Amino acid sequence: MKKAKLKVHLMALTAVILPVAAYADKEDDNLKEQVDALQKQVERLENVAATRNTDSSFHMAGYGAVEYADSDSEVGAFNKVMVAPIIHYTYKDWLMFETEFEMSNTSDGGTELALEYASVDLFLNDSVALVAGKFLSPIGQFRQNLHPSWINKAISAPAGFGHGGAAPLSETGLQLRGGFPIGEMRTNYAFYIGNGPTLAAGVEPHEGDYELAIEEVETEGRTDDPDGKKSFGGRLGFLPFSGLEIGISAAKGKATVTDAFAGGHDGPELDIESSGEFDYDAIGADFRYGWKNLELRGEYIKTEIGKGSAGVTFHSDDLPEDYLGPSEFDDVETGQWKAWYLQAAYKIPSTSFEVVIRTSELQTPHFGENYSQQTVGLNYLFAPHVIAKFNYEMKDYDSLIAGEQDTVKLQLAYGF
Amino acid sequence: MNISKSMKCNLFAASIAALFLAVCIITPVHAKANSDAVKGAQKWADNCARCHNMRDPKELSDEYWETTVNHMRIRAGLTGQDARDILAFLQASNTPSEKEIEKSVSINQFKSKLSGGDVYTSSCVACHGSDGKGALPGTPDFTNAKGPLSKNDEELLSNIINGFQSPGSPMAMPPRGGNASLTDADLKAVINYIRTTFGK
Repeated sequence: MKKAKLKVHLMALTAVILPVAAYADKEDDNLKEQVDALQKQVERLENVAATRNTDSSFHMAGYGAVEYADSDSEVGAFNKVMVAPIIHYTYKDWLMFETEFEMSNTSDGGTELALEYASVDLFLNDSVALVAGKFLSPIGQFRQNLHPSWINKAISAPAGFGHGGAAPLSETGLQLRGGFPIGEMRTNYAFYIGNGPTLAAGVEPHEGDYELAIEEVETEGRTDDPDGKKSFGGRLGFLPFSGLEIGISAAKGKATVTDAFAGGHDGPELDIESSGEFDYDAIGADFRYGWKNLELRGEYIKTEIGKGSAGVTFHSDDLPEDYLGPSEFDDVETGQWKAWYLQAAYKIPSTSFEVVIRTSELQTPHFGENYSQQTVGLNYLFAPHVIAKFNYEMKDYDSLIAGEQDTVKLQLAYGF
Repeated sequence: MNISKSMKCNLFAASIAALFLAVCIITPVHAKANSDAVKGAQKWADNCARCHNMRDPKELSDEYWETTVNHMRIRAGLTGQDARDILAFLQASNTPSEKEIEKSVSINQFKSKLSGGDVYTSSCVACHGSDGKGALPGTPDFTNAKGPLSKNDEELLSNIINGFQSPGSPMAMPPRGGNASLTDADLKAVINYIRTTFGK
């Protein structure tokens, strides 16, 4: 009887244990699967981490824009498509190579390519970085920091701050940049030495004779130095308190005439035999004040070409057939190029809209090229770096031929 | 001795170059490789808007922020320390929110060791301003009766823990205001501080 009871107990125990054991096996399998999945995930993450454990790092940034313009003088058209990729390549924490090249379409369907800058940047210490190569001119703020389409609050550059204006564009040489605190105030600086600008001149009939006048200061950084003397300059920025920045800039050097035309840029080119050296000076001042949703900004720049060491001579045996002027000019008309702008931008609270107003002016030594430009704009921020802009732009020239030009502009800008 | 104008200019340029070389020599290279995300938040707010709209920390990965901040150090004339602090803030602020990583229990519930005012001053003031009305474009106004303080504490805490995109703001507030070391208790303390200081 006792034996039978024991048998029953054993059978009952087996009946209980078997399902539990089967369930435990199933749980084990689940756990094993989970552990396997976790192991694979860890391996994948380790691989990712291993690829990051390198001395070098690469990043591509940049910006692009599409524009539409409709003005008094031209039929409305999608007039600009551009992309400016920026490549950053760093080695450890002390070296970076950076370059930006700009590609844009032309009115005839072609493509323009330009190297905006390319430099090797060495972080010498916490306050000093050495920049070597082609870099954006540190004179003023707009050219070096504000011209990208997703940063520029308006669609156009202010008068005189684009190509052929008063503000220097870029430079090839060496630059020291950085920042340091002075007590509670923060400062930043940029000093450079480079090849400097060159000059473009034009021969025009003047009171029964001919005169040679400097048409343009060519400030795109170049890889030769025709005058043989380096230019130098820089900018100092002061931030006395959060929201306010005040900057002063200056540059000095020499420049020679490297391009000359009979009757302006569209006329036949004149081959230069020799040119005197002309004094080149630039000064500038800028400010930025931000308070909550409001931003005020302004900038002034003056470029002056002074007295030359000698005149300009053209190759007399290589002059265009229809050129009637002399091949030698002892005196060259020089002058000043001045530009300024004031800008206010206000982001409407609790919306993605931003209102922009800007007024700017360019003064040159040449009648017909001076103008003022007023812009009223409304921006819509899809994101901080994705912006749709609507601008109404009014240009007023000092010449009756150009007169006044009103343009409606639309732009979609993307900084990536 | 007569010194020509050109020679004077060259001497001036040479003096500046010599001065900076001297600075380079006497300043230790990469002085201290430390970084402070809390200071970075203020520096980020002070510097980035000098030129452009504030970019959302979540736009880039930690690695991409490294190269980007190096680029900005050159552009904005930042010191190395400024750059390291800003990088620390950006890298702390682009981590996924606790909702996204399905963390069922929020991080520690211990009693706060910081006062609400301390937390606000260290981690909130850069964007929300000392008056609570918002120091950056798009930051909501705490003093507005229909603003963030119209929500209950539970919702506010959840928004701060996980990060929050205010309507009309170009970028979202990062999880825990970009300071991952703040505990839930710290966040409760700062909510209480904000209510008593700016609430109407």
